[in-house]
Amino acid sequence: MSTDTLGGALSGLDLASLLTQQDVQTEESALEAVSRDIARDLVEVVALSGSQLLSGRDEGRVLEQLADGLGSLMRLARASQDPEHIALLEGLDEALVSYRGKRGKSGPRHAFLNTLRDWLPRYGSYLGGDSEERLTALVEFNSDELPLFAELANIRGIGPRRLRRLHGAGFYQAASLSHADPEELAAVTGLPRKLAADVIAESAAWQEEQRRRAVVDMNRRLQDFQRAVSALKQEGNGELLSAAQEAMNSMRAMLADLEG
Amino acid sequence: MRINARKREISLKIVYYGPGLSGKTTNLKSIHRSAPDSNRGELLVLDTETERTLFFDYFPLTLGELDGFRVKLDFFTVPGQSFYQRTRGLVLNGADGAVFVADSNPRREQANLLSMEDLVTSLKEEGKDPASFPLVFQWNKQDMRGAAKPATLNKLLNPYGHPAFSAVAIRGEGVSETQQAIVKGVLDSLRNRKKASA
Repeated sequence: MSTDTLGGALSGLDLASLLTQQDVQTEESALEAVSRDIARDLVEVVALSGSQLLSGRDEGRVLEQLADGLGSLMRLARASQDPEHIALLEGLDEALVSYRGKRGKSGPRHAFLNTLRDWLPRYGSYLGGDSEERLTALVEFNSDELPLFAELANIRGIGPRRLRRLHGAGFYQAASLSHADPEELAAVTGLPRKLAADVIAESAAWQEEQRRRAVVDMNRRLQDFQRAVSALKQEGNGELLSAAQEAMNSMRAMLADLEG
Repeated sequence: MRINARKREISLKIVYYGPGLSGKTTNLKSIHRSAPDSNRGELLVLDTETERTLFFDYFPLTLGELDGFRVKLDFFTVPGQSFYQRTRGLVLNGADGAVFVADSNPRREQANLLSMEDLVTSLKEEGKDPASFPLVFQWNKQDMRGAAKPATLNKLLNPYGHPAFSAVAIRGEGVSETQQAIVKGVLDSLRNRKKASA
């Protein structure tokens, strides 16, 4: 756009003709907002990569994932030029660099994990929203209970080798795998195209099955609730009845969402 | 639209959408190259080929001043690959307008369609109507042998009849026309919105 065209775009306009009450008044720029939103997602992958270190297996690969995730977060932070964000990430990066130099030893690995456990809630607090709560929950990680890591292992056709390839390519959840394009998945995981398409189809089928089960489960709970509400009506407990009806409406809304 | 009263700045967010390798970043680079130095900020390219998990390109462009407020356009691209759906949603969040860059290679027809469906779904999730949301289409790579014809692409992807332009973004052709159309679309939409709420 030339200088003339740029100036021309605004000619004949005045501020009052554009603004409405819907407009967002904020000191956070669009770049900062997008960076923060992506960082909220990305840090969970970093946390989950960290939790894989507990077993001590595949240490090299997990370290690469961690360095990759942290490097990506750092680029986001530098992009939005927020010194607080950069300083927070530099703190964890120093710990990671120190651990990478001593990999293969359990002492440095546990020291890094402790640093990560302390760091995640602080980072969550910086990111705001529900990040602190989510990251605090994630640091309670237990090597036997890694729900997100376990998810893809439930899908037919995904054994330990494919699981490693998928994790290596950044796939942790059926939701993202189900939306992948077979050619692109084949390119990033090295799986043959036909197999990639099969894995995507199985992932979508698994997700659909989970949704179907959730609908059945929710319907069952709703029926139980309905019975309880009827009993309350008979008892004439107005306050409790109103709270129960409100809860039931929210369950109905969740069910409608699940039923799509 | 974002308003920063302290900095006396208004920013409008325009997102370049489309399937992987359709030419979104090429568009942004071309716009950045031809923008006056005094109006453009730094172009940030977070390359997904080397940084798998990073996800958008960005640059700010100052349009001018309105009643003492600096009016700025924030241009973003989304990652095209199908599995970055979540990130696309995050980048699109709060957009004032979007450009859909379609790949005219007939082999990418499915990818174009999936990406368009994805855009429509995301807009609806944000409570925006794809028929009235400021949206401009660009049929990129029209120079390739066997390229799908603009009329074919229009029929396939643009049921709402939004403005559409043929382009060869790598040579800068059609880039500026597309950009001017989306800026006009966004400003017209803001005016109409104000009239509707009056």
